[in-house]
Amino acid sequence: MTSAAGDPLQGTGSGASGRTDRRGQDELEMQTTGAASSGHRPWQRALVVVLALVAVVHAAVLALWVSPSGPVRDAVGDRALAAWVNPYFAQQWSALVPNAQFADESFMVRAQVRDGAGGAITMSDWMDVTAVETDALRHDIDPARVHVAARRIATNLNGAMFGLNPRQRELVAASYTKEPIERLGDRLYSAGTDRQAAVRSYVTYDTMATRFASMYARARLDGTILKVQYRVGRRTVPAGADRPADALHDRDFRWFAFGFRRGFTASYEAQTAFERHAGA
Amino acid sequence: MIERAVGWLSQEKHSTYGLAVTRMILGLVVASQLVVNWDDRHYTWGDGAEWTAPVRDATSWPSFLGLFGRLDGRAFDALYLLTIVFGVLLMVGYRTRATAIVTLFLWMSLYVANPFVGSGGDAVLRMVLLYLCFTDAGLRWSVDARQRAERGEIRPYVPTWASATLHNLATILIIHQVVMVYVGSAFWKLQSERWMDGTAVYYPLQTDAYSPWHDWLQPLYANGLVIGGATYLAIVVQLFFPVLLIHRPTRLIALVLITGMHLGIGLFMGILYFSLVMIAVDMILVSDSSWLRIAAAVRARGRRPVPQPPSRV
Repeated sequence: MTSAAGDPLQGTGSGASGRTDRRGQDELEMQTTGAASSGHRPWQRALVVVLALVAVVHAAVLALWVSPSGPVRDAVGDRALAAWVNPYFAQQWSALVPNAQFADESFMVRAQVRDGAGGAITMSDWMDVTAVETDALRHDIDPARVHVAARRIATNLNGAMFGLNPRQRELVAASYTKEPIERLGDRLYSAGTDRQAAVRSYVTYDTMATRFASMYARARLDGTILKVQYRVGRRTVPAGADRPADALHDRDFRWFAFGFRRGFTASYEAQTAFERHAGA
Repeated sequence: MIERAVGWLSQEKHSTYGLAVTRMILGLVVASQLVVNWDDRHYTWGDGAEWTAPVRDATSWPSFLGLFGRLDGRAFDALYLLTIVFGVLLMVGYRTRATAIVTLFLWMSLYVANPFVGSGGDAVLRMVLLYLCFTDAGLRWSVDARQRAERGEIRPYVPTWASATLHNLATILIIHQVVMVYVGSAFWKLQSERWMDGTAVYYPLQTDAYSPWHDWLQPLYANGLVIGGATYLAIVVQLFFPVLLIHRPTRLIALVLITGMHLGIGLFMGILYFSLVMIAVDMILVSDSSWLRIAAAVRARGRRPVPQPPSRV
C-alpha cells in the first residue's frame, strides 16, 4: 500500500475543512504554488468561471442530444446539436439497455460459382452466417466483436429498406449482375425524388453487403464467384403477455431476398484475413 | 456563491480515489478487449475489415486517426500490441496523463478502423477517456504516486489552481455523462408501452443477439414477476439516480442497485464490456473517504501489504 492510502484520513476530504487532513505530498504541492491556492487574482477567477461555463454549455448540449424530442430540443434543432456532438460525442439512449432489440435477424448468402476455367456453373446452397455467430455468442461472457457483423448487416439492410418506397424495393430485389452497384443507386434515385438520403444510405449498405457476401462465399466455396445473392430474415419476439406459450424459436423468419450482385474481388490480404475467420 | 464555487473548483482536486479506480478499470477494459479479439484482429480492424469501407468512409473522422487503417501485417500487430501495453500502463498509472492521451489516440484509431463492430460501450469509453486526460487520474494508487512518494514532488508545469479546475470540471463532466445517460434513457423508457406494462426486459432475453444463456435460463425469463420486477426496477433506478446521489445512505443504495443492474445486463445479455465501462464511471461517485475505508479493510484482511488494491470490481 502506498503511503497515501495508509493515512487514516478522517472527514469528507472535500471542502476547506478537509485540508487539515491532507498528507505531506499535497502540502508539498501547495507550497510550490503558494499564493494561488488562497486568494486568486481576478483574471484567474475569471478564467475559472469561463471554463466552468464552457463545461456547462457542453453538458447542456449533450443532455439535449440524448433527451427525447420536446419543445426545448426542437427549439435548438437537431442540426445545431449534431454539429457539436458528431461524431465524437454521438451516443444513443438505447446503448444503455438494448431494449430496442425485440427481433432475431438473420443474414444468408449464396453464390453462383464456376468450377475452374470454363467449368460447370453451379448455384450454392444458402449459407447461414448469423447462425455461426449465434453459436459463437452462446455461453460466452466476453465474445469477440466480429460475431456481431452479420447481424448488423441484416439490421442495417432492413433499416435502409424501410426508407425506400415500394417501387424502389422492387428494384432492390431485381438482379443487377451485369452492372456495378452504383448503377443500382442511379435507378433508385430515379424511382423516387423524395427519398434521396434513404437511397444514399441504402446504396452504402448494399455495397458493403455485396463485398461481405463475395468474400464470405469465396472463403467457403471452391471456384470463381460469379455473382452473389443475400437475404435477410426477421422474426419478432411474441408479446410478453403471451409467454411462454408462444416462443420466438418456434417462429419462422420472414425473408427478403435481394437481387444478384456481381461478385466483388477483395485484395489478397483482405481475402486471407477473411478465410482465416470464415473459411470452411 | 460564485466565490465558493470558484474555490471548490480551483483549490482542491476532488474524487481522486474514485478516478483512480475508473482509470484502472478503463485501462483493464482497453487491454482485455484487445486480448479477447486477438485471434480475429486482422478480420475485425485490419485488412479483413476492408468490406466495411463504404460505411466507414461515410462518417467524418479526422484523418490522423486512420493509423490502424493504414497499417498491415507486422506493423499492424506491433501497433495492436502497443495499444495493449498502453492499456496496462493506464491501469497501473505510469506517467498517467501522457499515457491516457496516447491510449485515447490508439484506441480511437482502432475504433475508426471499423466502427461497424463498435458498441455502446465504445461511445461511453471514448468520451470518458477524453475527460480523463484532463484529470489527475494518477494522483492515487498508481506507479506515479509511488514514485512521487519516493522521489518527492516535481514542480508542475501547470499552476495548481488551473490543474485543479480542469480536473474538477472534467470529473463533473464524466459524472454528468453517466447520469445523463441514465436519466435520458429513463425518459425514453417512460414513453414506451413495453416498459410501462412491465415486459420490456423480456424481449431482448428471447433474442439470439442478447441472450447467450437463453437455453439454460428460459424458465427464469418466462417468469412474469422476475421480468416485471427487473423492468420497473431499471426505470426507477435510472430515473431517480441523481436524486439518490444527494444523501450518503441513498447514494450507497443507488450505487449498489446500478452496479447490480450493469452486472445483470452485462452477464445475462452478453454485453459485459459495456457494463464494465459504466461501472468504471460509477466508481467516481464513491467518496474518497469511503475508498480509503475500503482500502484499509482490504489491507487489514491481507496477510501482507499489497502494492495496489485489486483492480477488479
